[in-house]
Amino acid sequence: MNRLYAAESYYSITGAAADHRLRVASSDIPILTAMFAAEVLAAAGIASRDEEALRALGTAPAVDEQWVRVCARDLYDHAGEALVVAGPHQPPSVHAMAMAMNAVLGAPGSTVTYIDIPENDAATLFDLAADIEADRVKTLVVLGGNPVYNAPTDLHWAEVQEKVDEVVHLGQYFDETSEKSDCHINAAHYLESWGDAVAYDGTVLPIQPMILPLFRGLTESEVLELIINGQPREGYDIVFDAVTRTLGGGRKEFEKFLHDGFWAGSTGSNVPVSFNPNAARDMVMSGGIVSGNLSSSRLELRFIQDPSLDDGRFNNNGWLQECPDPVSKLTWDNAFLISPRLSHELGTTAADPLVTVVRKNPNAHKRGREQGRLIEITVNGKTLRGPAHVLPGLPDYTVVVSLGYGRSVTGPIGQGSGVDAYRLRFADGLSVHSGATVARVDGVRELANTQEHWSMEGRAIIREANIDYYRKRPDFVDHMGMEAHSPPPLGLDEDGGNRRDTVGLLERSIAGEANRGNSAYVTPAFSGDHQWGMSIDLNTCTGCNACVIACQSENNIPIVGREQVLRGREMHWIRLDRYYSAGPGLDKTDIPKNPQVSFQPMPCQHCETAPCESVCPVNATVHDEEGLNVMAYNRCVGTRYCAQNCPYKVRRFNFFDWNDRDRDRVYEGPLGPRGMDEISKMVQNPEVSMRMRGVMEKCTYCVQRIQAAKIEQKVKAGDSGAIKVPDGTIKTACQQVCPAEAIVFGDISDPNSRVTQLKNSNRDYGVLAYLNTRPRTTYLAKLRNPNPLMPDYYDNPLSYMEYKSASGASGYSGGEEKGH
Amino acid sequence: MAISEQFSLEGKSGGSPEVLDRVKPARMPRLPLVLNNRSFSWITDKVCGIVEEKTPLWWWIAFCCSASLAGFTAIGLTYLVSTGVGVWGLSNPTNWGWAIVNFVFWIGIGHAGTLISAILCLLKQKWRTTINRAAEAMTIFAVACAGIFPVFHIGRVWFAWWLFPIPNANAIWPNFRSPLLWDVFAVSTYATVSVLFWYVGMIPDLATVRDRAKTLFRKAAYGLMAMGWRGSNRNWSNYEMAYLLLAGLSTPLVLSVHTIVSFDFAVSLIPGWHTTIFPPYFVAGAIFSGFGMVLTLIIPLRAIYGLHDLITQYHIDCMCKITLATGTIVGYAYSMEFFIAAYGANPFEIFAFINRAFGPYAWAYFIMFSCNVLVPQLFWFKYIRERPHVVWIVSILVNVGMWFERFVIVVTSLARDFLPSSWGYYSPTLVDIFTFFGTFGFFATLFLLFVRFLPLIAVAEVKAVTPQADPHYYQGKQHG
Repeated sequence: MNRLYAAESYYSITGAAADHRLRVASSDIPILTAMFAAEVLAAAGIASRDEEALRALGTAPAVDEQWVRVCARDLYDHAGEALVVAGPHQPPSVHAMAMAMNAVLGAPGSTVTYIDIPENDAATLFDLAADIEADRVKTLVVLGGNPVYNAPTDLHWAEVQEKVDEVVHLGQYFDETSEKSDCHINAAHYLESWGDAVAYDGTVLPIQPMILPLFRGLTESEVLELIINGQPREGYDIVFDAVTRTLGGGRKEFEKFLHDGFWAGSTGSNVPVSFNPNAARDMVMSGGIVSGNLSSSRLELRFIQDPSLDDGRFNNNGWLQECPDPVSKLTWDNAFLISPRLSHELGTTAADPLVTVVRKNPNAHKRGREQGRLIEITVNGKTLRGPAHVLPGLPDYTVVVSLGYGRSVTGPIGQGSGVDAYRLRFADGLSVHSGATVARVDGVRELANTQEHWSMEGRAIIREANIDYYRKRPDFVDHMGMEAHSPPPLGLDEDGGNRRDTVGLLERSIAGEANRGNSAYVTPAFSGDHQWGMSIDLNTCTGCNACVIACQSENNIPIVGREQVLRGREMHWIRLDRYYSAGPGLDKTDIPKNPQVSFQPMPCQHCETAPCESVCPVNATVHDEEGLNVMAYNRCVGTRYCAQNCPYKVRRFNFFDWNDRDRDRVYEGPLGPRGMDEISKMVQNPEVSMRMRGVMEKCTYCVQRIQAAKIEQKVKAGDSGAIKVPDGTIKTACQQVCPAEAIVFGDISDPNSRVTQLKNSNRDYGVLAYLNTRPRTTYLAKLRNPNPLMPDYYDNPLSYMEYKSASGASGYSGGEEKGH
Repeated sequence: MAISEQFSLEGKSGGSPEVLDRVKPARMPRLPLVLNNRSFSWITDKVCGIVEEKTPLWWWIAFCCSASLAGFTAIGLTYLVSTGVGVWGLSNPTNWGWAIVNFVFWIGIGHAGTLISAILCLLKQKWRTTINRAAEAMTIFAVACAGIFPVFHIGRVWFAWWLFPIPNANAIWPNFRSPLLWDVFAVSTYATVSVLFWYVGMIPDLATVRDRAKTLFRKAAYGLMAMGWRGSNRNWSNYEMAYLLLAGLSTPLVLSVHTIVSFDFAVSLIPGWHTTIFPPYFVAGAIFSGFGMVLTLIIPLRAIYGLHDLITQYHIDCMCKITLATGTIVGYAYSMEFFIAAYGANPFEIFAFINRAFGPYAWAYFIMFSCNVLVPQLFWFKYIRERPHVVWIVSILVNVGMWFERFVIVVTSLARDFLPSSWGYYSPTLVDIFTFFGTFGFFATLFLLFVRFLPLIAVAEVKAVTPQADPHYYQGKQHG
């Protein structure tokens, strides 16, 4: 199993996936890299002046040298299968040292491949500004981009741009730059565009439109064509010419290119790169590597691209605005993310409760709404006021803020969301700025956070173990949670062996041989040809949110807006639960400095004995013969009893007519405007019914895709009777987009299907299975692979230790004996 | 005096052993149920007079106030139905909030009436006669208030009729496994039987009012309601049998309704709901709150209409003692819940109860516990029981506490259940608050109409329990 060390200033999902994570300020990363480089050289036995020179640079404050040494040793011990990656925002000296380390680690050719990227000889924005000031620019064409919004604040681009006689802006939205331009051209969306692209590995790819431009938008190449040749040309022709001119061939080859989706044989621009120690040495030594020397009066401000809005281009996209930040779980807003320590010093931490029964949330909440206490950050005399959100795991004096919010000219969705961090972004600190100051000011901004509580409270919800422990106890998941105490139908087999939840036993119960485990509850018979199930691998899930948006897009899930998210009425059918683990031993009011983070995608579990079904008075949610827990929207009267009785809380209720009413005016009821505009209608998936108010909804396992595949298979089968849909034909929307392929859906009655094989894994477990819900969605436990020699090594993940400490004797009690 | 003499007389005439003379047992005289030796005609005049007098000014004022208050419910519900359930404070995970709390609260109040009429009738508790009519009226009106909430809390009110097993072309039946469906049957049965019981018991008195009526309209109206009652032996014989049967029918309903209401929670699997203690605990709580409400209504009524000879201190005393007993049962249930959670060793259950008492809703738990368990302990003291104003305040606190009990059960369990990622905090909106307080107006409006137009004390039954109705009364007096 691989091992990932991360040293970062923000708590990214990479850090969450790391086996060892070092929280360190961005401005200390150069010096930390020097420490690493020295240790790697030492480990390699290349005792040299370089090592001494690197050591002479000093050490990063508050960094355990042991951490660096052991990590470097581990890297070198795995030379040839290890690599070092430097963050793209780090200075060249860091990249030089990373390249040096990779050279020592033998990475080039094994774990690192260098590709040839044509050198970019374009001038910078600063050169352009200088030319404009010098009155050398008469006409400026801005192709995409939004410099008025996101150019460095000390460039004063808005004023610079006004000095140009004529400014033409091509953009998808009428934005800040359009407002300051003489002419705005609608840009075509990439789904409306013809184009070509080169992938990282050099493969040439076509971009083909899915639809004609809805607003008669033009692509960049079409605009350029118009400028250069003075004649409009079809995007197709432009791409055809460009591709055939560069790569040869004619109409036939081009059509094959479109059909295949890539230009055959265009791969392979790997270039041999030799490491130049002298150049690297110069770069490092002239890099001015010093510690950031941060303190509460000298903070580091770190700008990140927003995980949802990127640089602000998706600011007016409701799906993305409402998509919770992977770690902070904030929607519709950014915030100044601060460490617990800084929060404590600023006095923005929530007051300690008199009595608390759960771990304290550092972020104050009032009636379930997060109270983002306002702070002011000052950089180079510019001040920005915004809410603070405490994020455990940040370096003490780093403030992280995401870009892309606080737009002044944007659509109705983006209006009023977040603060514009670009205003603090100077040319000398595009990613990181050391020397910011902070002050607490009166007032709060309520933050629409979708997850109020951060701790699992020692519950066996996400089950994880270290790889060594797993090797010793391959069935550790069966010895966790209430199931460990439960009789055979829920817990261990009679012989104490491994029990897999929905497979095997299912066949017996389908055959009517017995209720499972002699349970008093009759196991429902499932007579369908397929038995659907899902397996979610927590080990590969990175918490990236792709499934959330894919599901929203596939299933016509409405957005509800900031105000309703604040009330807790978001509609996502699959949510990503994010838990911090503090480890045992902390007081309930202590906030962990460097917690471990675990993610868990949580869609409907399609319980075989679904608690929601038995309580619905009108039979609106029932089971089908293929094991799906289905919702009959037409039958639902909206008692919401099903949602109450769902232990996973995955059911979503239409409190208002989200689809038929103006989202900002739902409280006006029948007096408000009604109906959906034509463009919004085009967003909806015609295969999925729209839900009206008063109706419950939830994940269907993309039943529309299942039905379509079944029908297609039946047609194909004809008289042969082979109506079983082949494994892998149906992919749920969440599965389809999961970059880690953590979600696998399929037929669990087929012993050879991928989902069955995954469910047969000894890491497979059902969440809250002790309730006899028999979820068809089960999880594969997460494994971590920490290095036992590291100073921050724990015998098991912190969440596991929390579980152990909360549940006393449950599970393995440390020795050789079985728990129960 | 007459009664106590009668008792001592009976003691002697029974030929008591000499030992009784030596130990001098404390006398436990049976207190008279009607004071001041009131005659039958006085009772008739007193009760019917309330219906027959000119409508007093206070009644008009009270009626206008309560009807206006009821308007809040009407407005709140109109807004709710036209706009969506979102106008309430509900969300995920707390999909049930004040509406269900209010439903259980009102249904609970609706328990005392039938208990007084039916169970106390079967147990031959004669003191029930002066309060049963008003208590039954209270029951029916409380059930009417309760009925509003489950109907209107659903997302699509216009399809509420789908909860009834009406045969239809699609052959879709309601889900008979759902406790909500059991609720539909339990509450509608209870409402029907309660109305019948109330009405049947009222027929002789309606006939009395009819017989005294002077205007044609009153004659016709009360005549219609009296169903041709003539007071014949056959009438009385049938009436007594019908009343007894209805009492027998109602008795299990008193227990079943709140048992089934408690199933809404007990049958679910949410920690804090999923407990077998709920049925008896809910029934005890319902009787507790019902008696609290009877006291709240009866004490002012007695003062306004000068009914002290009919609703005596003895009646108040009895009700206080029942309140004390049921309040203590409720307190026992609260404690037992913790024991069961600890003994069950289920961490989710243990957490649910610790969270209930010390979590974010600890304030509600504190109100509940002090109002329901601590405050009624005052009723141990005769001094307190003899102070109607103190009793009245305690009775109101009892119902405040019982509302909070339902709030604690419904909300705290939902707000923090299995997965901490979904935890939340519920708070109501103004629409919730106005809709609920409006139901007090609705309830008061109905009760005022009842007081104004129907005999609020069961005249015929009270006459039967007056001292002089006892066949031995005059005999005792002569011999005394």
